[in-house]
Amino acid sequence: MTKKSFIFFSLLTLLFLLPGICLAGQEKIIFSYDVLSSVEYQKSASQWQITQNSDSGLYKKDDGMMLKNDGGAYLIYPFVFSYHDYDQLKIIFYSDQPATILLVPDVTTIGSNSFELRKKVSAQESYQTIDFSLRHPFFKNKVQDIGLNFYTVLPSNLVIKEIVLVKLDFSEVILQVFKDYFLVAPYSAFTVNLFPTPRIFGHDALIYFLPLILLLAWLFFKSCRFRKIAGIILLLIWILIDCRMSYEFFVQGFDDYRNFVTPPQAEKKLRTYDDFYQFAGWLKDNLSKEYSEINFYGSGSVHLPRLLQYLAYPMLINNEENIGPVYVTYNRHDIVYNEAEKRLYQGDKPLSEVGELIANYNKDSFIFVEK
Amino acid sequence: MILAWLKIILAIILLWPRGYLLVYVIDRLKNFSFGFKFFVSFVFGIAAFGLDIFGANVFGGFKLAPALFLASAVGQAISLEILIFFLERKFVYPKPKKLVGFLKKQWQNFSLWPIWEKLILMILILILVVRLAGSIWTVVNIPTYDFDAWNNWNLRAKVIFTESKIPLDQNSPFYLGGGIGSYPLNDTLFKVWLLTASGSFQESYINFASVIYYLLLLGIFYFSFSNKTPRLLKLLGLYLLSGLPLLYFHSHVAYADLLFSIFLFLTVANLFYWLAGRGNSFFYLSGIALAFSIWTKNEGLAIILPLIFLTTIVFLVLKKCNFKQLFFYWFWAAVTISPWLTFRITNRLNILSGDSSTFKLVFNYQFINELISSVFLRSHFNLLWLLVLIIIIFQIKLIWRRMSLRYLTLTLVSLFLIYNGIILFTDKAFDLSALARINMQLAPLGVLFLIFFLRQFFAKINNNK
Repeated sequence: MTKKSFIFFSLLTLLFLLPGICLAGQEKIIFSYDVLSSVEYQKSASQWQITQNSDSGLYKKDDGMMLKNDGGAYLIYPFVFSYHDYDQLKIIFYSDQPATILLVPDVTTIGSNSFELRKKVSAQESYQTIDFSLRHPFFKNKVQDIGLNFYTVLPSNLVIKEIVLVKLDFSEVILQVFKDYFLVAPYSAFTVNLFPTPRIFGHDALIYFLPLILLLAWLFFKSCRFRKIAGIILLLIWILIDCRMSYEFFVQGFDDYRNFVTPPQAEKKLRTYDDFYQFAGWLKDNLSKEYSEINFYGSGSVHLPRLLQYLAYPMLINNEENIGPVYVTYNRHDIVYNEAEKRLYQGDKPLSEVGELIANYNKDSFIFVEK
Repeated sequence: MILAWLKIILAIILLWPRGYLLVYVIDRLKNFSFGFKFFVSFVFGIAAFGLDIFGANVFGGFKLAPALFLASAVGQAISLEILIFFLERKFVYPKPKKLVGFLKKQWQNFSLWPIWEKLILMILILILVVRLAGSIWTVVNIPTYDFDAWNNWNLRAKVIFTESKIPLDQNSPFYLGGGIGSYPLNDTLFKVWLLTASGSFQESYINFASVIYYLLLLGIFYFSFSNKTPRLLKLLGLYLLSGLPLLYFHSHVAYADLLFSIFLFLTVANLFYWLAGRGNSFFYLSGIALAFSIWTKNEGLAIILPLIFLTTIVFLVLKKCNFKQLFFYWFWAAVTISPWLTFRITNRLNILSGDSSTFKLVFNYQFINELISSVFLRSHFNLLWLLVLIIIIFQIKLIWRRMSLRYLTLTLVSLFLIYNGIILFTDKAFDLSALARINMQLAPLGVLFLIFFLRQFFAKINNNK
């Protein structure tokens, strides 16, 4: 490379990196005790709101603000920005219950969501930091607001110290590429058909390497000089993808090991079906063989009646019907046993004839048999 | 527990002689290598056994009890032995001395390999062991989770095993075992056999079938190559196929796509090998594999059958085969699949998975991005389809030089267009759930294409030097 071309390429690179370098490190704190108690914020029309929670207040605790969460509270903030303005959203907080945090762009209108904008955290007593990459198509155009959903199985107390929007520098953006590439989507009922990952900035990862792959293929076929090296690089890319996907299988297997294989029977949970497999086992153990069919009332997934049909065969599963004397509920808050009348009620309406509760799996899951 | 697993392994081995004798009868010209025959015998044994007990139960009214299973596994082997005796005046039986000799020869060959090739083989074996261990761990520890597995394939196995018969009441939700009634029963009846052998219903026993399919696919793929194919290319092909993410994923998912992909591979690849001049046995084996593909998934009947029919007519027109060959190809295929086809026609089962009567042509333009992403960009198949596409576009001249590679390319492209055309241009695409899986069925053929293209490409380079 000549001196001239070296200077040219250096300037070109600098020009390319300049916007990132200039804006790098910019931060905007959008949530903290100081921000929320400032006069500027108090007068502003853009204020944090709490929805889907019985308590809509925030309480000072330590150097943060406490949210008394029923289990699905949303923190909503009207703020217009795109990923050209900020690359990352950082939350410094702790929760006294294991929680799933979901960042939802345009929460009051479209409410987009993706596994990349979901993080699971364990219960802690000291602050932890989680960050969401905003380099995602959802943030390409200006979003009008954002929502943070704090999902916990039981009611929880969350103490949030800070929520910050950050502009990353170039090296941090590159690091984000690797983080995105190795992010594994959770196993879902649809994974058997389509893998959602690997992705980079919310797009299929391979799309960024297409020009390189085409160039390598061209060199392999056309260039005697570079054929060998092009072939080797293509093979290395193949091996890299192989490693990445093997890592995906390992992570999914490890999740299964942690959530389903090793926990005691009562705590086993399998992927999106939670404890349903344990429930099905419990049902078979607790229902007399004399009953050949049941009326099943479940909640959580539309697949549950069919899945139970497989798990409980030869028992026949009637989905939300009134055939025969046996009623089985799974996590149905709306169906209760009326102790005084000794029958089941769905809301205000009686669902069954007089009978008795045979066994309880949990508060909302039980076996009831009519007399 | 260990005893049950031993019984399952024994049950799988018990189907092998029946398959081996069938392959032996087809290979009267002795075109096949032992390794190829060894692995094909398992899948042929599984499929033929399933068809036998299906016919015995549905048409003969026999209960699906151990006696019937054993009678089918052994009885059919005996009748094939008699056929072989009439044809060759000898009985085929295991010859341990020959097997020892075969293994010794393999070891001697291996010891002559250059050290770095040995190293590559060792690494590949290690990779395969890790992959298999991962799949086995999953099927042993994780219950059936994926939709079609518990809504169709495993449900049917459970129902048929519990009832000891194939339910034939069309009004019952458990007609043919439940789920979608038109699905063929190859995978299901193999699983019923495994359950019968073990004596009880355990999810891990039937989910183990997928690991077996994966192993058999790899074995058949590797040993389908002739000795003329450079060893490194064969090993490369095995590595590429074993690690295709979606294909490997299905080695621990209780679907029938992997089993179907084996029969599809055998149907198309054997015609390719026959065109490449490796002998007529490959031609006839293709016909039987086609029959078994129909017995495995509906794509066999709706897509593979018409395509192969047209292909063989073209072979006749081009005088690649004569009428007698063509007749035997289709005659034995028809005889093999007749129990299932007769049943399917008389009971008016749908041709496709859903209601065939409402088949409409539409343009699902909204699926185009998803299709491109899923097939080429999302690592379901690593770089496979991207490389195949690049090669077909930029190296078509080289491909066109040889009839066999030309045939493989045209078949691959046709299948790819038909498969994805159904997604793009019919109302049967539903929710795209089959999109990546149907392209997975073609993946072994894609890798075969890649390896034979590379062989031809390197041969051209060496000639130019």
